[in-house]
Amino acid sequence: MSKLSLIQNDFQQCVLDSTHEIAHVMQTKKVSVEARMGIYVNAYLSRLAEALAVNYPVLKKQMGDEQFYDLCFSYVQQFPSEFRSIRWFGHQFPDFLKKEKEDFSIVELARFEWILTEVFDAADADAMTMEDIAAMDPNVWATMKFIPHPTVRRLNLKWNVAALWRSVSEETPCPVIEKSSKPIAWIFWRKDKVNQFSSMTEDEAWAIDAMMHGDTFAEICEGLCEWFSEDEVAMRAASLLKSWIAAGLISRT
Amino acid sequence: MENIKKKFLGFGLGLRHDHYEEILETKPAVDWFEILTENYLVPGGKPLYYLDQIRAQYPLVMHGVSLSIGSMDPLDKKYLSSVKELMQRVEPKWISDHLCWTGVHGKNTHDLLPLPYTEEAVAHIANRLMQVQEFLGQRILIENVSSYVNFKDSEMTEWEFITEIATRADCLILLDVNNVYVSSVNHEFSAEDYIDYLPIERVYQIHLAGHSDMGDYIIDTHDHAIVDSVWKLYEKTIQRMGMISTMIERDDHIPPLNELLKELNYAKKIAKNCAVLA
Repeated sequence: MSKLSLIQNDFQQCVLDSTHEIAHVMQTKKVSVEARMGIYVNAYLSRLAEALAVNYPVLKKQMGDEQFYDLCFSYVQQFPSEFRSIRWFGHQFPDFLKKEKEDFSIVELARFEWILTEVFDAADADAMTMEDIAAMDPNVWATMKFIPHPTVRRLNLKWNVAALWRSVSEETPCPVIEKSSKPIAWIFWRKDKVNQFSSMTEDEAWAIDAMMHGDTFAEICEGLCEWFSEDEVAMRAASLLKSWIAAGLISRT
Repeated sequence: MENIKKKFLGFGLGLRHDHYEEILETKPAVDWFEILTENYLVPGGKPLYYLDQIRAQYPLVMHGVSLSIGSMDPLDKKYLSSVKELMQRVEPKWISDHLCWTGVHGKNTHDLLPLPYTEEAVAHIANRLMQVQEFLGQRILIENVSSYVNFKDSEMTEWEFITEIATRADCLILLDVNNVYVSSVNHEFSAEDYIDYLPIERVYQIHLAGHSDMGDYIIDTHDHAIVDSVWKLYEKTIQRMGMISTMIERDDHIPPLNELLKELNYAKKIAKNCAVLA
């Protein structure tokens, strides 16, 4: 192994685990090797913990600094970054919390916040308009596949973390943390550069998931028959499509 | 490979999201902005929207933190491709990154880690820089970093190290005057010797920044105003090298734009006084 490799292995080991004794650094009278390496160790931990604080601001407020940063430091140790951009470092934090925390509302809050970061800088695309729909050939409707906007994300949540997130963000009184009897479907997307999220009824969530899965409009209508009679289903499908277009959930191409 | 001409861009600032709206609304008298490359390696959304808006009104340069040019890991081609893609979107005046490494074995510490100043490191880095420049189709600038350790294996000074690499790779230099000062205190060398040694023709850009004085050593935190000692070293640099495109970096405790503009005007005043005397 080359000298440079040996030095870098030794140095990185010390940064990732401060108990490792470094061999290649010069001792000086003025500042000890421990103090000098401590600067790198602290910078490493605090930079990555701060990246998590930026991605999970409401979680941090909800947990309090001490508990939040303790978990951050454990996460940094267990999941050293393999990303070029620090922006993606926190992607496994919700799964990590699932193992560390018994309180599942905290895990759901983390999932909620991470999805918001994904929506924030997901790819841009023009949204479909009602004029686009009006210009479509009626013969293609049955086989038509609508493409979800690239910012669209889905999550089913058992806890009222959306209300909690909103109250903490807006600094209004927090709701009591409650678990619903069954999961509630949520959709996230970006419109006019601003993140949006909304809960959905069971049939709408199914229809959105079917669209994201690549089902045709006819297949979506057929699936909606589970909730609606044959007479009602066309009306419901048209109404959903109209609301999705108004919200900017469908891509033009 | 495109030969970027040494051009005096004037006086710039680091582009930070806290200032996006104000820049677009007030169009401040800043000659150019430096963007942090990694902040814009995202698929879309606000970062790229504001980047395009500001790019339409100001010249930009790109400054990366993840090239890891000194690492013994292979060059990350995927990262380089994304930098090239951004470069084609932004059309920057030039591109820079740091003379350091950020990790090995696929890990990234997201820190600018120090190198031993050895012939082995010079050869390794110069070779990689040539590959990077070939891939990007242009020469790039490498920046001296602040450091807190010296390696037992070092065979030369830092200023000999950076000069030798720049010469062998035929690359350019981004001189961080604050980093020279920080390292000179931490390692007890003469900052003036450092400035006097550098090849003037390769120094295309200067960084100025603040730091945290811990008593026995200094940490390069970019969260304070620039101190007098750094201003003096900047003055000395301009006296020796002439007018060099200069910008102020602030990464934490970001003050109002107006405060940074005052600091930038001070840099302008120093540089212009030096130019009159030269």
